[in-house]
Amino acid sequence: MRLLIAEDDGISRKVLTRMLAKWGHEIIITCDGNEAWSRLQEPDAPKMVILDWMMPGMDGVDVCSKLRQLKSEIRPYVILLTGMQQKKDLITAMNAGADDYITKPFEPDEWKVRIHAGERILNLQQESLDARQALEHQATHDSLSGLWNRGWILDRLAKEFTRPSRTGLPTSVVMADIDYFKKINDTHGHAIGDAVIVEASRRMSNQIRGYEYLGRYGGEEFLAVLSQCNIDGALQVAERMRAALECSPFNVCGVEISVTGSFGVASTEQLTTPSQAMLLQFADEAMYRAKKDGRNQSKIARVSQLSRFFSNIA
Amino acid sequence: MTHEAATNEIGSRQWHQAALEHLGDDEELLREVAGIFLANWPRSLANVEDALANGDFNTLSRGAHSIKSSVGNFVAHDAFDAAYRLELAAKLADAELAATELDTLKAQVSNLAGCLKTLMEGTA
Repeated sequence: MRLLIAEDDGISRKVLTRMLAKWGHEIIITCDGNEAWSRLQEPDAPKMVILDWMMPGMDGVDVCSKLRQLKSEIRPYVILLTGMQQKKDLITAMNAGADDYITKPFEPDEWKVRIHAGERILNLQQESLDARQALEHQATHDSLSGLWNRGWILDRLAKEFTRPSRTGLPTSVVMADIDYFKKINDTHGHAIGDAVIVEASRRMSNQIRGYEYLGRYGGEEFLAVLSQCNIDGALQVAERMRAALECSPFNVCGVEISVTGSFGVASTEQLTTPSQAMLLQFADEAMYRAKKDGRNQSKIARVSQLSRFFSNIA
Repeated sequence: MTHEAATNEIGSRQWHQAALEHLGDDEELLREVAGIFLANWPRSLANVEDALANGDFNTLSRGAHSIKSSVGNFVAHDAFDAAYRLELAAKLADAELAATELDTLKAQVSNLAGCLKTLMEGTA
């Protein structure tokens, strides 16, 4: 376990460091409260913190109070060291957010068990955090492809409409569909079909930048949400994804299959009163036109025709 | 060997065993920190004596606290208690009490230093 120690007395520092290292801990040693506070603000700061109460500069109680104001997924476990032995000191330490309190002079066996108790609490916190993150991942990702799931990608798109654009740049979407996917399933079976989805997802997501989002929209349909991207930029993304599918046959479970996709692109810059439903409808229309015109191509939505359609049904 | 020398010898051996046990039977560590303490002690003592002479109770309290931390590592309970009392006297800003406690501390540290020197000479 990684530990941070703040202790101004050189002898105590040496003794603590040697003992804790012997017990297999990795130690970051600091000589006063200011140095400790500076290290504790670093992103990879240790979660087990041992602070001497009386130190030059910030004392242990000050460091502890400030540490408790930092936002952290795992709450650091803080042990305060002190030569003060009155009950009110214990209360002061605990009120400052300390988890434990050890009086000097140190007793090595006491140290061992108290650090183990802290480790148990930190491990429980980590297990709880891991479980929460796993659930979050499960709730937001498609279990087969590993991409964002339909619910998440639609929420992401909705946020583009609720959040005022700082840059005034449009939002675009790309709707993608794997060509002849039913035939792949019928010919090779569903296991191969699933493997094609996985490989297609991998290839397409490699064409997406960190601030763009690709989700599995339906069976063999995918949706990319591109923030601050105009229609030309979105068409380029669609073409990159299309080329990534076409460039070489998929080798899945020892079977070589040529896979292509059809892509439809739409952008808020094409719409006078943009909405999520209209943007998706337009991208869908463009994608079906790409299918109709021979597949393995990308098409831009023809907004004027669809706008008329929407006006007629309004 | 006289009776007094024999008693000192036994006391020194008992202390050595207890101090070693306290540091996880790490003889090298015990010698290392003993060396640091002996080297630093004159400066630490001068610091608290000056503070007392100048009526600087804040420095006196911090100095006593620091000595208390150091001697605590050597299972020197009497020296630890004396440093603690000096720290409290400083917090009370009681110069007379502090002077008495400082004398006690000096005597206790002198005993401890004797044990530490014997250890460093390799005869403990």
